[in-house]
Formats: sequence, C-alpha cells, structure tokens
Amino acid sequence: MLQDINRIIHEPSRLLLLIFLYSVEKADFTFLKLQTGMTQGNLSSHLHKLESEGYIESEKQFRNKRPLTLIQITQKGRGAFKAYVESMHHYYTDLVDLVK
Amino acid sequence: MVIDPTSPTRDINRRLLLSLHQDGLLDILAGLIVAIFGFIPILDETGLNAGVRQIIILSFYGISVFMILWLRRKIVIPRSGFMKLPRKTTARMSIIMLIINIILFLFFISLYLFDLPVRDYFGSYQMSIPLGLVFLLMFTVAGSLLKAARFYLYGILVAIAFVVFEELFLKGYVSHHGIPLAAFISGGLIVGLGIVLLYRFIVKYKID
Repeated sequence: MLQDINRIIHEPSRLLLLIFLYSVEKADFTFLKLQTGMTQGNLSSHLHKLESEGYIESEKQFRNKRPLTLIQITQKGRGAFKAYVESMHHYYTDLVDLVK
Repeated sequence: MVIDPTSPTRDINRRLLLSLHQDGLLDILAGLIVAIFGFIPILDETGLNAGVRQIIILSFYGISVFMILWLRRKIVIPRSGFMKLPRKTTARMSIIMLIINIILFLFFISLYLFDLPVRDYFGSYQMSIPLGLVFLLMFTVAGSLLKAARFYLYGILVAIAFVVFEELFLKGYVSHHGIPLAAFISGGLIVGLGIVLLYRFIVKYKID
C-alpha cells in the first residue's frame, strides 16, 4: 500500500543521503554537504532525523584541532533502505503497467 | 545536486571515485614515483654501497608518500571532506594490485634473473620496453580502478618516453639507456599536471 511507504526515507534529500551512506563505509559532514549540495542547516536537520530513527549513527572526533563528525549507516538503516527500494520497485513496476 | 536518473548507482560510484583523485595528489605521487625511478641508474654509478643506494631510493619514496598524506590531511580533507570506501571495494582494489605486483615480479624474475629468451624479443630495447610496459600496466590498472582516463595517457606517455630516450641512447645522445631523462621528463610532466589539478581543486573548494 502506498500509505506504507517509509516517509522518512522517501523525502528526496534524505533518500540522497542514504544512497551515499549506503555506498560508503563512513563519511564526514563536509563530504556529504559537498556531494549532496545541501546547506549546512538542511544537512544537519536531515541527518538528525535519520539519526533519531536509528538509520545512521554519528561519531564526533577532533582532527587537527578541528571537529570531525563521521557518519555511517546502521544495520537498521541498511535494512530500511533495502525494504524501501524493493517496495518502490514494486509500486513503479505496477504503475508502468498502468500507464502503458 | 542532480543524480543521473538512468543509472544512479553508477553515477554515485563515479562521484565517489572522482573524490579520490580530483585533487591531483595521486597524479603528483605517480609522477614522483616515475621521476625517482630515474635516480636509480645515476646512483648506481656513485660507488655507494648497494644497501645505501636502496635506502636513498626508499627514502625518496617514503618522503613522497609522507608529503602526499600531509597535503591530503592539510589541504584536501578540510575542503572536500573525508570518505572511506566500503571494505569490499578496498579489498577488491588491493587484490587487483597484489595480482599485478605478482605478475610484475614474475616478469622481472624471468627477464633478468633467469635470463630467459623473452629478453631477446626486445632487442636493443631490452631496458626500455619492459620498463615502459610495467609503467603502462600500472597506470592502466590505476586508470581502470579509478575510472580516470588521464591515467591511461600517463601510461602511454611514460612508455613512449622510455622508448624515445632509448633510441636517443642508441644514437649516443644520452646516457644510461635514457632512463633518467625519460623518467624525469615524463614524471615531471605528470607532477606538473597534478599540481595544476591541485591548484584548481584549491580554487574550487574553499574551507568553510
């Protein structure tokens, strides 16, 4: 059912973040900001949302006296992302049949 | 940022690989590795003990790697951030590099230690063609792993340089089979291109 779509992941910016985090082992805030083109505030807000769902985890460090936030996707996040992709694949396959 | 909708996975992978080499540091390191190679025949004539010569060459390589890591930490990471590829990807890259090194090792063993007939195929170019092939192979593998076409060109450049300077050596214009000049000129060009890429990277990405 369409109502069952995971709305946390369905939001385009968070989806983009999860695609990147699914493809790497870990990445820092600067890297994600540059790759996704989001503003600092936007990125922080989306990361916070994903973290509060338990889809990602962040680790704060200091490197060369500069703060470094390393972010990585959790097992729960991987599972949710995979389930989301599979459900969307199913919906879109159905929709393609409808519009043909 | 717009991701290619026809192949998002490939597009993301391309972006991840691009982030590994767009700063030009790998080019600088590769160029230095080629250029340092040119010191080997020169050092051979200094009369220094073989162990000392090896330590000097290894020190050059060590300093180069250290300098690149330092530049990455001080210049690149503050600008473009830090990313670690998945273990599966890095393991695949390491295995490919290991296989290439084993092939090269066997190649040189067969050429110079056992003096196998394969050496005869290269005639007057018995130094330049094997060396050129080694660098061509290494750059081709690097270009293929990083999806960076310019590394293929570097391989061709170095391979051609070794053959051209061997030709000049045969005509009596240069010494040492032309190896020092071929290595310094082709390595220097690669370092130069790497510096241009690093400069463009610094101009494009500012520190927040």
